[in-house]
Amino acid sequence: MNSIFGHHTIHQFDEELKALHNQIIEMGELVLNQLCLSLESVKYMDLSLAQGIIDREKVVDEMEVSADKTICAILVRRCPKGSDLRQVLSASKIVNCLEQIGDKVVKLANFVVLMHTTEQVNTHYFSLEDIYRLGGVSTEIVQSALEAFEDMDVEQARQVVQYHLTLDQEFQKALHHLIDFLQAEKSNVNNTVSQVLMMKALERIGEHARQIAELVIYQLEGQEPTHHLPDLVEDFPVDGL
Amino acid sequence: MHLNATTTYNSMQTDMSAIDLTLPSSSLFNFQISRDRDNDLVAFGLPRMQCANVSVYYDSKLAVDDVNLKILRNEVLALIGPSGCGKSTLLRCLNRMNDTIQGCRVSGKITLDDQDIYASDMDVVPLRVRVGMVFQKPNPFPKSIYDNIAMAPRLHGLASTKAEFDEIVETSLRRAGLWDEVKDRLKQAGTGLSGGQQQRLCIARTIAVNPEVILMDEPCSALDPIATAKIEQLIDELRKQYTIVIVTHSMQQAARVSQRTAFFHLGKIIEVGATEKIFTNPSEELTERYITGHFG
Repeated sequence: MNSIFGHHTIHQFDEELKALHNQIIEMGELVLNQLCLSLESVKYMDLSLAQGIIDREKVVDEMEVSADKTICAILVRRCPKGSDLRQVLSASKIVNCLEQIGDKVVKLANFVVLMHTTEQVNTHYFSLEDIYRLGGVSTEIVQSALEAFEDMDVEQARQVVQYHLTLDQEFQKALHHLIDFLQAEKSNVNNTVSQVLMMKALERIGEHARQIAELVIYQLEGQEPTHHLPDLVEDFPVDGL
Repeated sequence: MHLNATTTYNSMQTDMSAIDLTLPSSSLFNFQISRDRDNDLVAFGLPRMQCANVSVYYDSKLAVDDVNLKILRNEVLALIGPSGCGKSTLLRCLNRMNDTIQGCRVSGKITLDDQDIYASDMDVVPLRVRVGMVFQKPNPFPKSIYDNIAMAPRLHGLASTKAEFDEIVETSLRRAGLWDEVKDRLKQAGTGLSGGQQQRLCIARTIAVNPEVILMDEPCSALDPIATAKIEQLIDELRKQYTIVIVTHSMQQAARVSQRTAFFHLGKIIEVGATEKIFTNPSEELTERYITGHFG
């Protein structure tokens, strides 16, 4: 990534910031790939694919540790200020978001493993269409947030923050479907709980992607990410209940 | 029972203001920082010193160009900028140290508590009592530690008995954090102290006449990190009683010790603002370029 102001007087500092940026892009690509594969493993109840995702989570964790070391070294050696400081602070938080997304992806994969273990591979009882739709929106948000980070595109980052609202709506829709399912006794409680947890994981993935987009905006413009005090009504788990 | 979040939050704020004394950063400032107009004389309230349209020439060379700056009570104001940007020149104008430099000419107005310090009837000797200065290199007098402190109060008639002088010496050295290190050798030469101790002795000497403003021109540039830390700790303590203006080339030091920072470039003030803002998200591109090490 080229600084808008050209090179630092200490050129090595440019290299270190660039290396950090690339580390995060690499970690983001892996996490996005894991997310796509996890949705595929859910779709086809593919056990080996799910186990591969769980195995690769170690690599995501290692990448987080490595990025943290780079961030620590830059803080100690360079005492960054201004946009450099914002870049390092954002990087630290984005790495954490990516690691959290990785954890949620593993939850999805674990679900597939659980289904195989308990021999409930028949997904007839699940309204998986909701999962696919939610997964699709989450994947799009993560991908778009990572593109905004890679290109340092503040407009795209703002679009991600807006688009995240769609995910909330999809989540609420899916919850209502599930309640209908339960009321019609087409699904048992165990399966419903599993599905809610999967949906919640996907909703959280989208939330972390939104945070990444807000951090891109912070890095570029210094605008602090917004924090809303949750309203009791708005924070209620299901709309309209 | 449903909690009313807004009411709870408001009542918390009320409670917090009642215990504001535990927050020295809030309780010690008698000014507010404007978030909207950081670059335009950010302070409200009564400034201790004020520069209005100040320009300084060395013969025909313009060193400080039309500077407007407020210096607030009980704040540490850091002046930063590349070499030759005029920050030390402006600092020396604040107690008319530039009067001794041939060819130096100051225009505009500098006031101390609304009193024009360049007025024709202004006596620079009492001015320099009110606005003391600590220099880059420690410069104790070639006299005993005791006499280094007692000399100025003696000249200005601030004490008459030995007991009074003893009290001034002890109080000044204590405030400068040097008393415990030198109390048993007050008759020894001040020049025999270490560099860091000498600088603290100079600070003690400055505060012995009870100034209102202390000017510091790169006071730690010749000191090791521990001696620097002691001086910075001292600056933080002195702020409670004095107004401090510090010129420093170390941006880390400016970030550590000051509440507001002014960035100079080619004799002009480019930006003045809360130190946190200047070092995380400055308004001016030139400031950003300087603090991130793209020039300077």
